[in-house]
Amino acid sequence: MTRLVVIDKNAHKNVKVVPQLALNSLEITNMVPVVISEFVKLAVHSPIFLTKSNESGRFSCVALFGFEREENIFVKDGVWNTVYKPLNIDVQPFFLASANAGKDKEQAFAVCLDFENPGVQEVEGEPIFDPMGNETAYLENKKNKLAQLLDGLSRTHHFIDKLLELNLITPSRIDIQFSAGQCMRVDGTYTIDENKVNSLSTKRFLELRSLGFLGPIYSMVHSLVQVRALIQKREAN
Amino acid sequence: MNKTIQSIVVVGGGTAGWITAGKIAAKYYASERPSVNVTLIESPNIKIVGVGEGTWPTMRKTLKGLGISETDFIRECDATFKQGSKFRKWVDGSESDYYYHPFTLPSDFITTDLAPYWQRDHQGISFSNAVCFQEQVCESGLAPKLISSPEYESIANYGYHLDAVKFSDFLKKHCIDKLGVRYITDDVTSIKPAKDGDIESLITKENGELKGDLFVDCTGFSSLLLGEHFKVPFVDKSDILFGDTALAVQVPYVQKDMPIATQTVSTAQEAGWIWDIGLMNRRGVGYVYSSRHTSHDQAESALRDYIGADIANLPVRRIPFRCGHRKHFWHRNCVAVGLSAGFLEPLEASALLLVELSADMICEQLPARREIMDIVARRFNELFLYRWNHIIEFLKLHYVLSKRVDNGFWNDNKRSETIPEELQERMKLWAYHSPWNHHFNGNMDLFPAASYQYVLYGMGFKGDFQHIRHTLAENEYAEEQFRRNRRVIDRAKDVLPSHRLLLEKVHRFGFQAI
Repeated sequence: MTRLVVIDKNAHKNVKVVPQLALNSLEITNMVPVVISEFVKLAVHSPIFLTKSNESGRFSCVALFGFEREENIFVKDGVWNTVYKPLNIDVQPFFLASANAGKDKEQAFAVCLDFENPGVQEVEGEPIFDPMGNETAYLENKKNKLAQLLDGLSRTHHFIDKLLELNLITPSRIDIQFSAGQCMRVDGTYTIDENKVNSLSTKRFLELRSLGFLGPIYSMVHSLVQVRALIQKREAN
Repeated sequence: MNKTIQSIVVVGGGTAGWITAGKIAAKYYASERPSVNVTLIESPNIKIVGVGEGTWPTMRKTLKGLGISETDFIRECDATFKQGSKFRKWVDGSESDYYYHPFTLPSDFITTDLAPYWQRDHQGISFSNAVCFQEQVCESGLAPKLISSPEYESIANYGYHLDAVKFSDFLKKHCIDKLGVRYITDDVTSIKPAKDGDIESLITKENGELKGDLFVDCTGFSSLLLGEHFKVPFVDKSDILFGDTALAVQVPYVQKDMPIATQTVSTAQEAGWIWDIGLMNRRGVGYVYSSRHTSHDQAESALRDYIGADIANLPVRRIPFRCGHRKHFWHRNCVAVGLSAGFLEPLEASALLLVELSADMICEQLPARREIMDIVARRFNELFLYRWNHIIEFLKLHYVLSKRVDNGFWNDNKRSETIPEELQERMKLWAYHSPWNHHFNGNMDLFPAASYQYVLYGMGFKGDFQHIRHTLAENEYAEEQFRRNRRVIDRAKDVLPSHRLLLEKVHRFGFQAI
């Protein structure tokens, strides 16, 4: 359960966050939604795929951290042993909620805190406001990441729409055979067809370059080698 | 006689006209220098008939082939998913009397005929429930796929229910904007014959003379080119299929969230049957009956009884029709597609299916030169005459198997002089052999052997399979198929969303192309 409340310097002047505790309470899943600006950093240890939402059928980008639904090979006792932590994890327990649009019609957002998260308390941890009521560096940092995430989401939607328009997405089921003989299959994953990218017309290809999508495309394509690394890590655990 | 076929003129702009024009354009305009061009001329003054609201699963391939997005089609034609037909009160007329003809083939139908095993060991369960999971999907009001399924891909086989008028407009826009079909809106005032008897051109009211090498007659019941101009006679089939009138009414959903049926429901009446089709925003309901066996007033009151209070102020449209087809369909340089070729009661949604198949063959075998057109025409006529006859027999089968005796309509239907000989012969065969691939002629037949099995065994037909007892050796394999089907039913009920929920999601999110 989550209970999101818009943060307020008066009402929440004593609120603190224990970061590790906040992460501990997160549901463990093998797929974490990610945005394109993170691809390069994630590709160091995680394969990145496209997957469809069960609710809407729409594509999103995810990084894979395990093979079974509630498995994360990189997390032990809530501690992420990764070089890079996805924004969606790092911003916890903060969220953005859409607020009323301003007069300039730009969508406005408010920063919220999940008060059901046990990491949110008043006893110990990182304060979000200083005694003067100013935002702390901790909160600044989180807000910065939320902004990155928000911007990344809209860029990622644009990225996916472009992939669909150019017909570059292809199903990529993962069939795994572990050395002990156990077999496993991850369904519903898609990737980018590198051959199709390479056979695009020059005009289309340059369009992808000018949009800044070539980097994420090749990051995703090359991240597939991490499936093998993930298998090895799982077997070593 | 020795010119190349370049210019194709489609006359009439209903679904038949647009599907034919679209298929030709999609195929031939794909190359950089197309060898043919397609023009469709439509009268601004003639309204399309706009019945034919059910399709077979073939429509998925047709739409995909035209380059249409399934999402756009569903949104703009109020389309829903059709997974087969439910026949109510056809066997004995009692309240509990129903059976299914689902679109999904029986389990492992390609290699195993489960019918004799079912008849011997599984009498407690209906044939369609024993061999196929789709009846349960329909009865539970579930969709045939998920929102995450790609466009046109199915979990359970499906076609569509659609608004025929909207569908026609939708195809028109697509054919003109995307496929480059040339469109003329004008009246054809006369037909100018060539010296050899072909049609040389159409004389139009505003646009002068419209020349063509091949003319496709999609002018509906009036059959302007094939019937009126060429006088190709109409072969009346009302001695076999008695229906001659339809009463049609559009019934809105009383509540916004009412379930939408995912099968055509066909309920037998004293002198015919009532169709009931669920579209996105309304139902299409109608009574097909024999005016020789009931009066129009009686028929209308039967329709009102069926619909109940909801019908009170709804306009009922009466459509008289003649059941039958032209003696042949391709004559000289003119081929008829759609109602101009013939009409049969919509019991198994054969109208659009025939349009698709006709257009496919025209497209595929489009004669390169006039000199070979007569050969193609002869082959076309042979094939489609066979197909019309077999549809007629298949429709007739539904009546012949009925045990209803409540009206002369049902009794007359069982008189042997009203039953085509070929059907009588097949029924003799089926008394000892379940319908199976050898009784059929590959892709010439519209309805596969499976369709005959669903109807025969759904209606309680019993075969005597004594003589093949010794070959009924694959017991364990057959049992595994029955068990497997039960597992598939459970799984389908677990994962499939309700039909309405999926449709709402298609309107909100759309399907992905992959």
